[in-house]
Amino acid sequence: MTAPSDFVLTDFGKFERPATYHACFRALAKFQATANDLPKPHDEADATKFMNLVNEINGSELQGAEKEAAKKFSFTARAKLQPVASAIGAIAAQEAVKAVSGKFSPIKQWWYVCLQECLPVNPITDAKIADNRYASQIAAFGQGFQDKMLKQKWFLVGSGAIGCELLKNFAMMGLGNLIITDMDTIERSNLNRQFLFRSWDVGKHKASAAAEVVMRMNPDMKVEAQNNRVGEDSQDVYNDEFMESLDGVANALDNVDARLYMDRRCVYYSKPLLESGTLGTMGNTQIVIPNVTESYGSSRDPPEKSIPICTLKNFPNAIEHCLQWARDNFEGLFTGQAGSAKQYLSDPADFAAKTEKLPGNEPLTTAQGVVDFLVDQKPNDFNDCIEWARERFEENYSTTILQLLHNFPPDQKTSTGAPFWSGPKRCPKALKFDPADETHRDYVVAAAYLRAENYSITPTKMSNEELAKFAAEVKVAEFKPKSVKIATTDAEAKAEAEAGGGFDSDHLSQMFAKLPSDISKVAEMNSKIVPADFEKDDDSNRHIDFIVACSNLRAANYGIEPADRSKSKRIAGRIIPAIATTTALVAGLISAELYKIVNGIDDIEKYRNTFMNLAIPAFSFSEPMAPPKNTYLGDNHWTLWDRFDIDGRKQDGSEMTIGELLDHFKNDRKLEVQMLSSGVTLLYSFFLNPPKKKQDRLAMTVSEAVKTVGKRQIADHERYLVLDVCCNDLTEAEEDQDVPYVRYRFR
Amino acid sequence: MASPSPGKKRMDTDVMKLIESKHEVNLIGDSLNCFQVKFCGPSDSAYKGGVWRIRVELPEKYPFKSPSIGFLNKIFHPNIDLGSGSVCLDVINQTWTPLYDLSNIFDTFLPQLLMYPNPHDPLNGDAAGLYLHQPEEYKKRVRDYVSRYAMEVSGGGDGNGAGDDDDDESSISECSFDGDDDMEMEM
Repeated sequence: MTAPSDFVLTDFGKFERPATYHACFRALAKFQATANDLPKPHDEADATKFMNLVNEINGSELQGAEKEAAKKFSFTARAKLQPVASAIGAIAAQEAVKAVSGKFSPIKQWWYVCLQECLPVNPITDAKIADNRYASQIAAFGQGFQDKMLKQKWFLVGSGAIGCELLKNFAMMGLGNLIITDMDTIERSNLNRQFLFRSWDVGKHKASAAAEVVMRMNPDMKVEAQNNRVGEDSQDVYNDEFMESLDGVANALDNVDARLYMDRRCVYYSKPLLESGTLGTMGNTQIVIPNVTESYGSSRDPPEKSIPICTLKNFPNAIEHCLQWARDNFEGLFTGQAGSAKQYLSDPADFAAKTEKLPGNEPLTTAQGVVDFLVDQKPNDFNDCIEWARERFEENYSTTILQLLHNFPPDQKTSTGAPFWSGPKRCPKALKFDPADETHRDYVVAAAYLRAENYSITPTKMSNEELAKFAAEVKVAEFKPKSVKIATTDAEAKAEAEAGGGFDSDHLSQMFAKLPSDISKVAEMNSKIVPADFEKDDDSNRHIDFIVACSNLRAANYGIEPADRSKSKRIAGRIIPAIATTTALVAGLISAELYKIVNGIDDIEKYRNTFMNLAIPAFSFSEPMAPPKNTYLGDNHWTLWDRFDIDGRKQDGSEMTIGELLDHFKNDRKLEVQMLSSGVTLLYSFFLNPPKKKQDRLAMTVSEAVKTVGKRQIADHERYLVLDVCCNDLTEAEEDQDVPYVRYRFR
Repeated sequence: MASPSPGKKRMDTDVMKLIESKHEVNLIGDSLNCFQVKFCGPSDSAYKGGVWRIRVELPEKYPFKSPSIGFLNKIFHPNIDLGSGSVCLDVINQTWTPLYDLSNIFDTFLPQLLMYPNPHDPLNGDAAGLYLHQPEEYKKRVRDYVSRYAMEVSGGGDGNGAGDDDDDESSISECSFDGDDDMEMEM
């Protein structure tokens, strides 16, 4: 205590703060010992006494920012704030686990976090020693603040790990009104960190269960639970009226796309956004304040490395490649074809029409797939399924490999003379089916059962060994390499062109003719087709069984170290580690930002984004970035928070035409519109051809154009449309102008 | 309704720029994210004289995600799928950055791809094999396909992917032969 060695520095803008706080805590103990009480909230006299003690301990008088900080320390000495408790609790818990497990590096030595930016600019005059549940918060921020909190209305998107933590924090802080939505139900694996749920809650809707618990924690709160997925499809629920009534939005999501969507909604409605996320021991928080900070979408993480197709297809060198390949294999064999077949059987005419419209060669391949599934390769009994499984083994682990080696022999050289099969390209070897080999056996067993399931065929009762033996007896075609023949005569060339799959309608119709069309037969078949729906957590469905065997056989082809079931499941199921401590820490830190919003702070320097990794450990607090400034026509400045607000309703009750909108831009804003679009639909452009089309467009009302050209329904609750314009100035140079988007009111 | 994504502005300006450039562009059904462009085979390659319709699709996350490119009429090339005409996405992704725009694709990327195929990451294994083992036969095959499928005849060289024959024509200029281009060999 008296000779601290290291202070962890979390905020590089406040080098001296940790030492100041250390002195403050020591002073507080002294103050309490003599006065038998803590300093009164926001009391100048007590603060002066306190400061004297601090200066004594410090050895010299504190100056400037540190002096201010010590004073505020005294003012808020009685405060116990939920966000702080959440953050400190998380850190302490993780340290305890580190001590017990020996895993990760402990904090060395003292960890202080300064959240004084949460205090309002003006001095607090209504702080008092209350005697209700909010006493410790009122001691910090005053009664007026607490009253404001009770009137707040926030939208919490997600009720999982971060959602539960945030809900608990909001309940303790006294955030009066919440709407919370989550489409998920509670699963057993959630219980290690989504702590509002217990084992008896498994199966219930997350949002409802969480809301119930939290309203018991604090009956002052009104929490409305919903089960909607946020997105374009729920914009009728979370519409203009809903969004405009909010004080802010808190994200508690588990994917970037949903975050980007909510971010765009918050920018559109000018609402603050509390954003946070975790990944194992790593976490971050980001605060978004309208007209002050940039938005969440203003910065992007570098794209995730996806495996190149050629690596997956021909040149794997890591077990991850094999697992992804196995996963794709599963989809192709047990989901895709069966799904298309079912689509056909549900509505043959519709399917035929849709298939014809597919791009490139897809009509043929799709149709072929359905023909294969329903006619040419349809199994009649379980033995057929076993035979099919054996054939798939041969195809994937022998034939394809041999063909690859035929095209690129082991001694193949590249154009520079270096060996082709080197570095990331591992030379494969074909596998010969052996019923005694466990992995070979596992493959045909899983494949046969999954195939049978696709057709609702009841498997014959037999042991796995018997099944493998049966498979071994299946006759498979001998390998014949496909050689690349150059057509030397016209006849050959013609035959090749036809074989090359030149797509024409006749060919397609021939295929469809092969398919069953008798209504009663179709319905009967349809009821028996069951496409597989990949589910990693059900050990009895053989999905993971198949993936493991499929992947490890490919690994055997390429000399890659196989992975056991647990590792395979983790990689193929894309399981992301999640722990309660990181979750509690980010939730605590982002909840603190909410104090600043309610206190009306609009200075960017007072807000904080955070990054942390509890394992290293590393923590960093930084100021958010301001939004980039843009300009058009010399001195019109704007940011992502701005837009053109245009009312398309005319005096006579009718709506503006596109032509009139263009005139408005020219006359009132001195901008010449080159292109007008709504999403990816081009409503008008200077290059629109032929001239009559252009004239017609100019005469359409904007909403009419969106409906007909964009082929989109406009819902009853919609009053505005979002449009994009590309503009030039009116000078001879026709300089391109960087302008904001348009919110256009049409009714 | 939501504010437009950060990529939307890029989509708008990139398409405008492409249309204002010398390339012949047809928007498919008034949509900004899917269009066809006329592309001529580079004059110093076996693909000389060939004319292809290229279908470009801009994904939702453009420009952070690369556009996907497809040849609507057949082309024989190691990195282009014979059946669907899709250009190997990896080959595009290896060079694509959000700093590029669409004219890069037609002025630089595609001509270079045709002149210098990458047979070691093949989508068309047969073409790759020929290119490596029998380069003269490879060139012969390429020219054979050009004459059969990539000749600019009214009505098209084949029935493959007729596309949307809209009244929509946003074509600005004719396709110029690549000898006239000042191509930057940066990649």
